[in-house]
Amino acid sequence: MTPGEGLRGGTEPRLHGTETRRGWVRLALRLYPAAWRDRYGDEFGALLEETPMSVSAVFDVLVAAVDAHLHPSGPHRSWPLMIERIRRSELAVFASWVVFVVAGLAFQRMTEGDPFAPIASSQTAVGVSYAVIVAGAVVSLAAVTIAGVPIALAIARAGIRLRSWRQLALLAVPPIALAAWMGLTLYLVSRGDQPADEPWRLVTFLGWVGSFIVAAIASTVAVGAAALAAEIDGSLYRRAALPAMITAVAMGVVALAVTAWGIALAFESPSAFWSSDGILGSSTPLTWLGILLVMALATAVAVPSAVGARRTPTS
Amino acid sequence: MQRPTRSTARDPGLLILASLSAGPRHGYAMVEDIARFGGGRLGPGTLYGAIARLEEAGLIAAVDAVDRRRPYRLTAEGLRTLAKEIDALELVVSTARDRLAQAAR
Repeated sequence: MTPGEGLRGGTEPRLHGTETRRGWVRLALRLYPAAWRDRYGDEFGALLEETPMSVSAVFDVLVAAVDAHLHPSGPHRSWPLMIERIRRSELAVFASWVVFVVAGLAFQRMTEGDPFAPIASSQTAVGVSYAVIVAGAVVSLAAVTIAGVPIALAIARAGIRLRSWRQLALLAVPPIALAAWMGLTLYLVSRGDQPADEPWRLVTFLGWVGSFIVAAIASTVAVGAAALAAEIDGSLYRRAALPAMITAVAMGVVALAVTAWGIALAFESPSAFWSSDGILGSSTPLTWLGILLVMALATAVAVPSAVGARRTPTS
Repeated sequence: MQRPTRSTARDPGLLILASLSAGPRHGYAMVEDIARFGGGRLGPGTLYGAIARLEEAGLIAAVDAVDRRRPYRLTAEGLRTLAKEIDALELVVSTARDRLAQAAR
């Protein structure tokens, strides 16, 4: 091929101008991030129209689109690209924090009554660990609030300004999910222990926990989708990098404190540690280890994401 | 400056740099050219993923679009990178060839 041949089009491409092909090209372009599409969409669409459609080509585009979301690259304005990286890192911190909170609520549920609450009052190491857990939870909640509220308000304002009802509907998911779960909780509390047979109580409890997990997942996905779709002031994400780091550090501190709590309990009150006072009367050490595992995994995702957000240059 | 992702003869970034060393080409022409000398066709997603990375690294640059097709050209940095990659590959190839020859004796 001569140097100028490529400009003339090289060998004659196969043309497939069917409606199916045009639909596929439109769908394929939608799979890519908006910034990538803005830069490469036109020429990439032209290439897709010329490329014979095959399973391998479709698979190749799907994998590349996922990669474009995970590793944004390209010269489509370097500042928004950096903000894009910060935004995705912060969303990863937020999602792992939600997972961490679910595990934390399980821990709180296990330890709020007998025999653990009295032990926390009488045994110093258990009590101090518990106090650190509570303090870490408060710090992480405050950091997420400080970072998240201005971003959520900006997304809501952008949704109203652009009349993007989808964006507003996505933002409405967390309060609606929380209200629905609170309603379910109040309903179950009002019913008391009727009927009192054990299988029914187990089903009710699992349904209550499951509905909370579903509400948490739905809320996280909806907030993430709203944040990814909204073009808001990038400085909000830049300012959220420090609270995201504080959140991740607080998660790490709480995970360490939960570890210390279990070890201290095993030494200071072995009978309580080796009991069956875990979730749903399960083994206490196994419940503790399960909660700890979830917290450790969530922290393992949050810390590098928060470091990435902090280290991403914005100029 | 960022080098192509892998120093292998099948790396999409290296194949694109090699294709553009003959002059500017747009996406489809690159796919056809690479199929001739690279032993396989690059998928459209793979091609544009590599183009985005190379352009971000400053190794290639877009030129004016013809219709919706946008050709790309090698930058000076891209030329230097391609030369370094070729040297690295040649060292691997010559070493492997010598060792194979010794093993055959």
